[in-house]
Formats: sequence, structure tokens, C-alpha cells
Amino acid sequence: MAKKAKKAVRRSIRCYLCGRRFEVSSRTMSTTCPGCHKAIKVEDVRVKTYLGLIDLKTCGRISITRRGRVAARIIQSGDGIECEGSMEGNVETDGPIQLGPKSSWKGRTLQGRTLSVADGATLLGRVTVPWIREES
Amino acid sequence: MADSSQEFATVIGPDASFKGDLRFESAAKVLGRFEGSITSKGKVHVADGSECKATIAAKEVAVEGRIEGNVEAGDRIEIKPTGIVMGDIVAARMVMAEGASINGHCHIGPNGQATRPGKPAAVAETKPAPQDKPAGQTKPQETQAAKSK
Repeated sequence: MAKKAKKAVRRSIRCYLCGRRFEVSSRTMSTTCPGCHKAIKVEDVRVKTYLGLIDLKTCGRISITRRGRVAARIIQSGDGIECEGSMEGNVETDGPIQLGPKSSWKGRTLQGRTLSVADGATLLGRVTVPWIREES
Repeated sequence: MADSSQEFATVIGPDASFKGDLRFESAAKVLGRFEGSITSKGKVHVADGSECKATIAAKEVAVEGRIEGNVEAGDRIEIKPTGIVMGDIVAARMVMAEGASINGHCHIGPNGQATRPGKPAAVAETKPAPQDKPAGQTKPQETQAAKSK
């Protein structure tokens, strides 16, 4: 007897390179944008240690654990950012930003739909909340 | 009302409009409109529905309404979901609820009061005012230094 394939749940994402909205499977980790034909990351990113890079971009969610540290020029996510550790760089997200009690952020700009800051967090830079990305 | 009158010695009522500089020792609650500056060693509460076009310097600031101006909290700033701050924030600690709005530069941390990004406090403080100039001319420099703190 043939197994019935489970229908994967679809999710709507927005390309961080061209801004085009399209649907992918919830299991998709990376894909090619039908608008700009470039590879984009869709998966959620979890940072547990030090991560130094030029750009950290994903259509998913970025979570930085207590021992995690991100140093990048741009930290961009589609589904929001949760930080318990530290972030260094410009933060941009279409979702909510959560900064934990021992978290820290330092950069030029922090832009998100909502921002919640726990007592004890440190921030240094320009904050624009709520921020809604201009549709291209 | 009874609670706020006990906790807050100064209350600017919801139908009141105040223009000028307000200084007090303990705690104040703004329910109406305020324009100018607030200086306190205690707590300032900007209630929901109120509007402050002011520079606020206090030990503790709670925001439920709207503030247009720079806020300096020696100890703590708390921005509730309805709170809006359009200006720079300097504080040792900050608690911000989801839904609150900020548009400005934030300097939050244990040394929030001591140093400011770009303009170190030491430079701002040690900048000598020209002695031969009359007091009136030195005023803008002083206010700039105060703002940069």
C-alpha cells in the first residue's frame, strides 16, 4: 500500500534582496527568488557562539542565545529577532525584536515592527520602532 | 485618583495645559499637555493620552503617553505599550513593552549617564566657556553641552 504524502504547509516570505513576496514550503531552508533569481536563505538561524560575518540575512527568524554573539554589517530577518546574547550591526526585521535581560545591541540603526526590551538590556544606536519596510 | 494623588505629589490634570519649566523633588504625573522641560530627582509619569513636548531629566520615567523631546533617566525608563517617544533616550536601564514606539537615538546601559556616543562626556564637561564674553553669549554653548549629556 502506497504511503500518502503529507501536504507540507506553505509559508509566505519576502525576498530580502528584491522585496518580492512568494510562497514556499515550511520545510524550505533556502530557495531561489522568482523575482531576482538569486539564492536566498529561508531557514531560521540560531546563533550559539560567536558569529562574525559581513551580512546575516534570512527570511526566517534569528535567535541569539545567551552565549551567542553576532558581529555583522547588517542583521536582517523576515520573521523577527530574539536576542539573549549580543548583536553588533544594523538590525532590520519585518517582525518583532525581543531583547533579553542580558542582551546587548550596538549599531547604527535598529528597525523592526515591534521592540520589547527586558530590564538589564543595553542598547546603543538609533531605534525606529515601529518600522514598516517600503514595498517595492 | 486617590492613588495617584498619594503617589504623585504633582499632578497635571487631563484638562490642563502647562508651558514652561517644571522642577520638583519627588514624583509627578502628567495627564494633560505639557510643553517645556521637566527636571526632577524623582519619578515622572506621562500617562496614557497625555502629550509632552519636553526635555525630561529625572531619576525614573514612565511613559504611557507621547513624548516629543529628549529623555534622560538617571535610573530607569519604562515605556508601556501605548507609549511613544520621539527623541533621544539616555538611561541606565530600560523596559520596553511590545507595541511601544521609539524614534530616536538610544543609549541604554549601566554607564548610560557617563558617556554618550560620539561626544564623550569628558569633552562636553571640560569645554571651557570663554571668559571675556558676556554671560548671554555663553548660554547657547551651555545648552548644547547639556543636550549632549
